Amino acid sequence: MAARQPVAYLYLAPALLIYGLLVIAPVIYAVWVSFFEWDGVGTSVWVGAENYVSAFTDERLLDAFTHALVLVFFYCVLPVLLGLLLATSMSRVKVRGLAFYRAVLFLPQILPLVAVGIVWQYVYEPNDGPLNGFLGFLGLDGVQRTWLGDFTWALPALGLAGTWVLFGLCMVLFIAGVQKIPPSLYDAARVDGAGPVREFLAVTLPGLRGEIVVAIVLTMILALRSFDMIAVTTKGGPGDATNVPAFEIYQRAFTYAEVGSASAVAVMLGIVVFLAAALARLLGERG
Amino acid sequence: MSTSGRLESTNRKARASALCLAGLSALALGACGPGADKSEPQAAAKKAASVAQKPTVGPEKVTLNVQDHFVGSGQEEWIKEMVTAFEAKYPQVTVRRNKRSFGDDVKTQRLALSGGKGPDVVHVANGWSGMGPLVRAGLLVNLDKYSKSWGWDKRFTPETRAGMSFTSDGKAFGSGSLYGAPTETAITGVYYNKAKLKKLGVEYPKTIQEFEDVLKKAKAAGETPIQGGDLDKWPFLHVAYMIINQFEQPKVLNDWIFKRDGGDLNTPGALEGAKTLRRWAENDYFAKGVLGKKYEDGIADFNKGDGVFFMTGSWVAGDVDKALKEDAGFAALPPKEAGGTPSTTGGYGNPFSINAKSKNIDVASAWLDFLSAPEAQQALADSGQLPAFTEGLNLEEGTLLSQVADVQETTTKAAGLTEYFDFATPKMLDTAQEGIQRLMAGEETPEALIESLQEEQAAFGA
Repeated sequence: MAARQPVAYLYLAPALLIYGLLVIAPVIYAVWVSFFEWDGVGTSVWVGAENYVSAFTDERLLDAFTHALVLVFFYCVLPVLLGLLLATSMSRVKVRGLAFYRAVLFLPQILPLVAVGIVWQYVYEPNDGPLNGFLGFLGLDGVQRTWLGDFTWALPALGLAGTWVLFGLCMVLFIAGVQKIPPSLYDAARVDGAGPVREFLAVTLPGLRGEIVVAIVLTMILALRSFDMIAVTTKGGPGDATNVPAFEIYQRAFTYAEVGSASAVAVMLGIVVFLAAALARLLGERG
Repeated sequence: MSTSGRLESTNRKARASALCLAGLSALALGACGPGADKSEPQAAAKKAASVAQKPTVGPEKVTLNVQDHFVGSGQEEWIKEMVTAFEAKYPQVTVRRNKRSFGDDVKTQRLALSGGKGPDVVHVANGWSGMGPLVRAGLLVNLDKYSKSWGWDKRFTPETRAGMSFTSDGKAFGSGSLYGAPTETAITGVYYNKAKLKKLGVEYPKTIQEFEDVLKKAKAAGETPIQGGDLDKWPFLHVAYMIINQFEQPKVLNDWIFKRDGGDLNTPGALEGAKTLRRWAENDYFAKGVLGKKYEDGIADFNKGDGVFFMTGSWVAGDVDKALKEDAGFAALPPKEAGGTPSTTGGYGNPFSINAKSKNIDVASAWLDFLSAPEAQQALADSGQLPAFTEGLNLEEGTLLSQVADVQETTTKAAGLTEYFDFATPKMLDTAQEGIQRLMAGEETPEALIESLQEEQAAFGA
């Protein structure tokens, strides 16, 4: 069509130009810079694929990617499961003021992640924070931790903050999705003697396939490129227990003045995110 | 379009894109790397060196752009006063301040200086954590000639000078030419609550073993022995440095930081320091939940009267003074043996440097001189900060600030001041802060910590 109407390109041109300048060009630049050793201001030295090779053998970086995978569980898997649970229960039971609950549960989504980080840092505060306070109140002193200062629990703690942010988004997506499933399907299922679980698996889940894929892709990308909360709370600590690729990129570019290396990691992260999203879409579209 | 035609055009497109790719690769492979031209750094440095010997502030109207990170309330008050005073002294000069937080300032400096319209004066982080890479890229003015003309040689101690010197190729730290002029002192030490010590029935300890005994006693009495939080990662750097200072000679540590003849941190003294820190953490002598607690919360708690000691630096003296008043004391961590060399980590705070591309280098040097001159330094003391040059200044006796100044004077005179370890390499800050957190949590042995610091230092510039 476009070939027969070249004026179509003129309509596309402004948006294409902006997209090209602000998105495509920096990506190409980053790929180019990743082949150099450069401190950001001085002269650069061509090093070929060295930045990539050393990245693959960098234990710290591999740990960072592992931490990102842990975050995928908290940002993606848990919110999707919670969202499904909430959406199906809200659609089965007549809840008064459903719109109010929907709005409130969605609120965390609109908060800037930096604000979320600051609030949750307070929640996890070992001495005055509400979490330890609540555990103490219940007599669970033994369960109290230094949370964000604990080598085992810091990452899950930050992960849970992410779950809190994202489950509302999933829930809203699925509630909207459930509403377009024809009720006749549910009726048919019930006639066949299906209980609530069977109903969920046979009617709701397949009906929500599209929404689930969208939710998974969105939240997985957020998990893999997570930066804000870590930068505002633990800065990758304690030690490097909450270090993630995005924070590592930031450190390399701005603290260590290794812009070439940072660009290489950025390219690697970009490829990982792209592959993960593509995989999710592929699995979702298949039978 | 027929099938074959479409195939042909696809082939043509493929060839075109292959050619494009080849062209780009050729471009990339050669001289066209990102960043500055290879000849640029030398040119900029030469231009700065050829500037007039005797710096004068000419009669032309000039706007001096200063980028700094004086954001503390006392600091801001002072710098604003200085701007007014400088403009009064040189009416033809307008000083325009661009203030940022410390982190933002350091991270944006490199880019700001490399562009053509950057600030004339920048507030740089010390050593390899800030100044070093800037010198290496030829972005800062070599201040040797200005130092001679303005008489900074007489004002700066040799240690001060070393801490702001790099060789002009940016390879060696601690020798070569001067690249910055400081305004404040940033010295580490122990704040102590006099009322608490009295309650425990002890005086400020004279040896580090006595200090540890007081910690034990405080813990038994239900007090927080050492207040403070390390969620921000950097605060316990200073705790660790101070402790190591008492077990290893300042000269050995400084040689290591400045990499003079290599320098080696794998000494029994440094190891004992690390073991001591681990022992104190193991025995719970630090605030509850220390690794998950923010630095500001630590200050707030200490100022509310929770905590016998608070190990940090001179930069919070104003806050502690306001809160604890006569109960506030400051001293260096006691040495290993009674009467040993008073030792601590510290020196001048972040210095000001001049942009090599600035068109007002002489005026900028006048600004640097103005800030380190006695009048400005006295004003700094009056605002509650510790100035870099305290000789001849009028510091009210018995105040917390005068106690801090005393520590600075005694440690300087006894040659017991060491630089901050994190100046040693660009990555040392991270290596040290993370290693210290691991050490405190028992995730890493004291040997491993010292080894990781030594490895980082040895690998840099190798």
